[in-house]
Amino acid sequence: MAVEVRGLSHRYPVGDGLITALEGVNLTVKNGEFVAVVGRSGCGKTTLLRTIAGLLSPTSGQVKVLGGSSDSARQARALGLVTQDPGLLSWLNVASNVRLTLDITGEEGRDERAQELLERVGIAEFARLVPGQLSGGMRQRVALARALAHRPKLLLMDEPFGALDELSREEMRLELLRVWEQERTSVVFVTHSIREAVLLADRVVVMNGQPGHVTAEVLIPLERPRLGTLEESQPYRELVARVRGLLWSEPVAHGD
Amino acid sequence: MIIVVPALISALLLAFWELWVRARDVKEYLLPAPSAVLRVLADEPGRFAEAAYLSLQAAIGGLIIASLGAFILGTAMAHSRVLERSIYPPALALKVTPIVAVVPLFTIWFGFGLMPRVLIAAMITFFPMLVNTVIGLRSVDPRAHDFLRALNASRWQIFWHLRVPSSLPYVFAGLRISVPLSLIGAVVAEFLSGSAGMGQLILIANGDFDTPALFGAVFVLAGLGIVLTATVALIERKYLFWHDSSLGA
Repeated sequence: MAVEVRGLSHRYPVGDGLITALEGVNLTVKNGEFVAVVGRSGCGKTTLLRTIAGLLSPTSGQVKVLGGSSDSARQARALGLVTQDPGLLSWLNVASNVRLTLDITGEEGRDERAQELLERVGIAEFARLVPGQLSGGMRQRVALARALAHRPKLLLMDEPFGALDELSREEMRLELLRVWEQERTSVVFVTHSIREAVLLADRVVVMNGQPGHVTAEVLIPLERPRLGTLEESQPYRELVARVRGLLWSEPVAHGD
Repeated sequence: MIIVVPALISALLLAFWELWVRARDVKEYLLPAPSAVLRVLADEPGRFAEAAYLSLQAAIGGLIIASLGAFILGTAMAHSRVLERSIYPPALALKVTPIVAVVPLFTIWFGFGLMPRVLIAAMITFFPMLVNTVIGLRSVDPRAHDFLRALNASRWQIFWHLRVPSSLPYVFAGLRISVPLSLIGAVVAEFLSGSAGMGQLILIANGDFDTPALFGAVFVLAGLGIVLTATVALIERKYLFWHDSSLGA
């Protein structure tokens, strides 16, 4: 198993009281599986992801990542992280941002691997630009490349395309699918877009708040490789409608 | 245009000054014309150049000591709230103490050489450098920090790859404040101890009622200040090309 979360709760103090962000969350991700977590803003998706990454400690419950603790997965350099605001190092150019991952993890053959990734995500010709000179979509490509550079077993993505315009989002979803077909890591992908979740994932986990908990799971048996035209197909629309129904806790009559 | 207009305005001001002194026949010991000031500078260039060199040495030496000290202590403070609370009060006390009160002490302790002048320049610039360094080292992008932590980067790697570069815009802001201060510190120390440099030159010219030389000193110091500030700005532009203020974002 890539991820096994059992009875996870997370509370943090606000003023005099405690806010419960997560309550009794269960989640499993198989090796090589692409799992999308969908939920409204504030339902604890990001808290869940940060806990899996070992950036937050659970108040109670169990989190196992790649068979051990989050910390051991981190120490094994098995995690890659992509966030909505990617936090690229603005003083390093694109190539150096990707290269930094390899410098930190101490990989062999860094130059070749960095170049390979720049090409894979289609940013090789922008290698000498700094992040401030790139569009939002380009920045997310860099973020993806640097998160994959050290060949992590688990890729954690927190609304990576949430701040992009609609066209860039569509482009980046397909780009992610294409890259993922080649790298094939396990993925936990947090999003508030139902269509995005269904297009990308093998399985969609529906979260509701508050406190955040998992309310449903939907298998997405759509064939891979998936293409943009998939969004026109009937099975896709039905799955989207089903997830939407589960998210709003009542069926919706119309598709999109 | 960016150079032409300011230069034109300065030239106009000087011309107006010159004409006014000549038209009203102002006494030289009250207000010398710019031409008289230039004549003094041209007559004894060595005297001004040597004094300027000594003052500059003290100012830059002080700035370097203050920056290094601020970096070392700032690093400790950025990592520990206890250290931050322990170091701020004495640093603040050092800042609010008028340097005029310290110069005689430093002269007694260190004599009339370079040392006391450098230390005064360091003392007056230390606090702004320290405050900016601490804020800068703390001002890391939390998303970049998360990314590096998820990679299991060591504290040292995070410090070197993230904290230090993140602090640079703040360190340069501190330098822009500190460069003129360091000159003031050096000159005040020289003036009070009468030891060397522009401060000593001013002290002597004052005793001689040599107003053109006093103005010459003002011109030279203003020039030094501008050159030092411009140098920092140039270095800043080279190393902060990535920052919002440079990219125009």
